[in-house]
Amino acid sequence: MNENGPIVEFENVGLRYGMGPEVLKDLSFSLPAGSFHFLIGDSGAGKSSLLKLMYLALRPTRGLISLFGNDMTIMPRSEFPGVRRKIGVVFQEFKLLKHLSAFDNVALPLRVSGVKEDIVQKHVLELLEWVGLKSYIKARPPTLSGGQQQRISIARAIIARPHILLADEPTGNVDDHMAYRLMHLFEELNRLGTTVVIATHNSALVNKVGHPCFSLNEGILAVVEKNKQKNSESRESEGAIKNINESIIEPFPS
Amino acid sequence: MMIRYKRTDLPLEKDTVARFLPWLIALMVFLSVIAGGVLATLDTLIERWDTGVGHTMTIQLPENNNKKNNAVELQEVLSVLASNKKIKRYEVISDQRTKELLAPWLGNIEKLDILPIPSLIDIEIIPGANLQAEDLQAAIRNKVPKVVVDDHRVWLLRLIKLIRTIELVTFITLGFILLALVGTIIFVTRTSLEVHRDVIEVLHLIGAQDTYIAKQFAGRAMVMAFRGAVLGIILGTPALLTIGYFLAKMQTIVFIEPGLNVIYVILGISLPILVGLIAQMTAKITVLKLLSRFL
Repeated sequence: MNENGPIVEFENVGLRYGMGPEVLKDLSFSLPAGSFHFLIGDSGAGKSSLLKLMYLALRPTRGLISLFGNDMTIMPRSEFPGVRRKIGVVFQEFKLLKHLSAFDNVALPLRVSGVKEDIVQKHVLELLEWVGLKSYIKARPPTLSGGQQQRISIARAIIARPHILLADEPTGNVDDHMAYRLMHLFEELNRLGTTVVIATHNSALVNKVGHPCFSLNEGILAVVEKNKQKNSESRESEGAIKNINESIIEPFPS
Repeated sequence: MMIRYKRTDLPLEKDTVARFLPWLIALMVFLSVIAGGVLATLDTLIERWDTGVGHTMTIQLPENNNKKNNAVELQEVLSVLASNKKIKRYEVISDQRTKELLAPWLGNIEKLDILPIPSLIDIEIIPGANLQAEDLQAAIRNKVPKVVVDDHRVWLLRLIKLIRTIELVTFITLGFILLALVGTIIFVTRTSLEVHRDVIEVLHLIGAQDTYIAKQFAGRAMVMAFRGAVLGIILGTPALLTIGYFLAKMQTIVFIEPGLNVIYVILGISLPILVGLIAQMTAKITVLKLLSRFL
């Protein structure tokens, strides 16, 4: 893969579930390495489906998908794990393993990659401390609040330092203050070189943070121009995010 | 020895279907131990017969009215036997021994003279030597025409054939037990995989190889099978010993004695490991095959 080349490339990609209508139509776009994009759209617009194509949970019905320079349509299934390890995913419904502790959930990506246990311990504890959940290392997901589960989910997504981070409504279960802190975390990761794609319907957040934005409407992808982004800034966002630029990246409170 | 489950990412210990697996395997191993005991006994029996009777023949020299002639004929027969290089040993069976042999059928006989009992000569052939009863009989009949040579191998071979058939049936039964074991493991693994589909999906999405997931199922199956097999042996061994004890006590079945075959004892001891490995391999192959259908 060329370092400056696209990390994700879609070419005339279409997706339909079974014999149903096409939910994604002729998507063609590319994401350069190190970019930060928002993906907005109403519920049912196909945001999650698009992300699923990107993290290899679905195969497209037609078109070509290229990840890290590899044509995924011809890549053998046995090589998928190697590609997936470069992708961090924050699932909309978290997908935490209920029978495992917070620690074990966060440690999973390292363990499946065969990282030594002492390194796993060190990294997971550091990250749990950073997301403010060090005192919850033994807690199981059902005993944690939505926000705490969200943070565990994010910690799991970034523990293995992915090349690309895909987050599906990562701020859906947290208050505005926490939402902006999480957004800062994603920006910090992006500054370190991780390509970030965030699917959200929180337009206030999108407008304030101000990264490039795609919009999905009835399965059709469009680039949202900067001006329109600014103009559509909602009133509700003003109060809640007035201090965002003053925030600094620091560990989350326990 | 207590084998513990290793930490797994999959909540396999909560599988209700798999909970019965050790008991099912214990039952299968129990049946295998009994079948193995039968095989060991039959093997020992055949070996004993083969070494005891397999290389022997008996010569019958019919009674003459003239005792003097009897003695002459006997000497002539013995001279033929002495000149045959394929005969290891021969022995004229005494009257006393003949009485003992006939006692179960005729009761205690005071004098053999009242019955036309032939003189008997027991012959042992050199192992591997090709001496046919008909040839020996023909050689002796040149001098003593009425002599009859009985080859024990004829009826022994029939008995051995019967026992080999029983052994074959037992082996087939063991084969079915093995198939049932493999089938049970496949069924439990498939069910478990379906139950944990969501977890497997997450593991795949974070980059887990199929082998990483399969190892967890395989390890679990191995431990459960091992435990079941140990239980099966613990239950099967005393059952086998009890059966052996009663067989030995039943004097009517004189020819059956429970034997202790070293190979079978070693197989019995290594059975839990063998069963564990079979379960491990079966679970691994099953999971890998099923996961290949996942994205």
